[in-house]
Amino acid sequence: MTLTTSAYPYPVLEEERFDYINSTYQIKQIKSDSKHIFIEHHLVGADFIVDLLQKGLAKFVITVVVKDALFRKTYDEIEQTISVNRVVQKIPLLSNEINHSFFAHVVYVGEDREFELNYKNLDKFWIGRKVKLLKGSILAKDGWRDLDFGVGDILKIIKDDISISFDSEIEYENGGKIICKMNKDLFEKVVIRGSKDLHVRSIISHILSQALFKLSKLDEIPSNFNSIIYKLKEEGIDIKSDDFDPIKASLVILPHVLGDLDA
Amino acid sequence: MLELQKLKDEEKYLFLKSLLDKEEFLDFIEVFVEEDYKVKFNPSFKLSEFEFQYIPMDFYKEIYDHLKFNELDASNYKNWFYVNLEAVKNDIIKPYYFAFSKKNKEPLRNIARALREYEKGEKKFFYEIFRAVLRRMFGMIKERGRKGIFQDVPFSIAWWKYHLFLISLEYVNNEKILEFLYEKATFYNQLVEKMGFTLTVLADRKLLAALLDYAAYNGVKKELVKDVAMVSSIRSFGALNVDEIQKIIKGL
Repeated sequence: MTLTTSAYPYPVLEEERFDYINSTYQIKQIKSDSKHIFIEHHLVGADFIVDLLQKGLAKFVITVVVKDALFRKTYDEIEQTISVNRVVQKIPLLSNEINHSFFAHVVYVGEDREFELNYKNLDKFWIGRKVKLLKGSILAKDGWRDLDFGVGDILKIIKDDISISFDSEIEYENGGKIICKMNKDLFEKVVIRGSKDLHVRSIISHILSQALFKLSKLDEIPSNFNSIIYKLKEEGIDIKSDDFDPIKASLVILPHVLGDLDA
Repeated sequence: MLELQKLKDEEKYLFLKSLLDKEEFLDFIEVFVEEDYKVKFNPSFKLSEFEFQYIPMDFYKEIYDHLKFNELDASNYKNWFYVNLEAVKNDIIKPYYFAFSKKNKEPLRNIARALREYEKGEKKFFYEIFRAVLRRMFGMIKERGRKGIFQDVPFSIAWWKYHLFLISLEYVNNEKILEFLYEKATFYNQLVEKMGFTLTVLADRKLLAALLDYAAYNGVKKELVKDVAMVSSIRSFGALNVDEIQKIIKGL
């Protein structure tokens, strides 16, 4: 087989593809409770996909993955229909203490058949062409995302009797966390000065730098750090590259961690 | 219990030595045990040292039913540490059983050699057996990461094989799947590694059921998993039923 994700035999709506014009597929996490999250799908343009949705030949789905528990399941139940191209799904969580990743997409659910494409939102390449859709074909997709638990949740600072300023370790449990043991005198200064203090920011940056260095040496990076890895990649930083600079990386994620810092 | 990895060499020596005596082992390990741990494990069977290395399939159901774990419980290394602790306390296994590796399957001989070589200042085998013990007890040692939980702890392997079998039974009626998982250790190891780490589409319940059903009858074609991964990039297996997935698998 020679199929690749960049060579679909039919048009697909996703970021950085050009099969559709004036079209977007966006999702957002609109709320959550301890057992569920609510995710809104919103398709704009993409008249071919909207036509299939209207005819009941396509549907919005979300695949949830909890890597740590070898869990993956696709949900197609709709909680609320705002319009044919805009719906909300209610997704159950295995636990609110473990990282879930999810993948939203629109999928073709009709029988395998051929379609002639004459839709104004399609790129001219596709106009007039005949394509075969197979049941399960992915028509629109958003990338993999992590639930918005926030990267701030990954650092915990504990007061300790250690003689050095601090020492960070990566804890594996529940998807992973940075546990920083901090000298008790320093800890009190940090608490009194608060996270807006420049010196405290510098200390936190050093903690993150040490932890990121340790993280980069692990064979398997705990899943709670996926959002950090993603943010770093957005900045062109690959934690596994030979020239990985943990100090630079710590400065990138510092604002996110400070947002939730609870010493 | 992760702290066990940080023991000094002389403590590692005492730990390995303690495996030879139940009470000494329980005394040694006490400091690593949380007082309020809730895992209970006292099944009806007792295992020989070789049965522990490859737990007989006949015991899978009892292990599974007895523990009442869900997937999150069963992927927590701490729970397996406590299962093993309970198994020792209740004489289901003896502590020295932990001291086996893929190459060295005789635990008493391994412990004796490790201690002897340590006393002579040779530590390579000593470290190997020490790591092997931790792998059997809770799996998640530094060198193995989380995959050790699913691949290295005998009771966990039994639980997960039975769990995968039960998932498949929700969609296909094929009792052979359990026997297949029991016999094909390499396939199981690759499967759980892919499910949790490199190719999570295989954890999709319907795809898993279809794949196990196919593999139990037809064996595992080398390219099958790779081809499934390719198809998953354009088709959503989660949106198909098992019959439709099986049709795709047969066509690969």
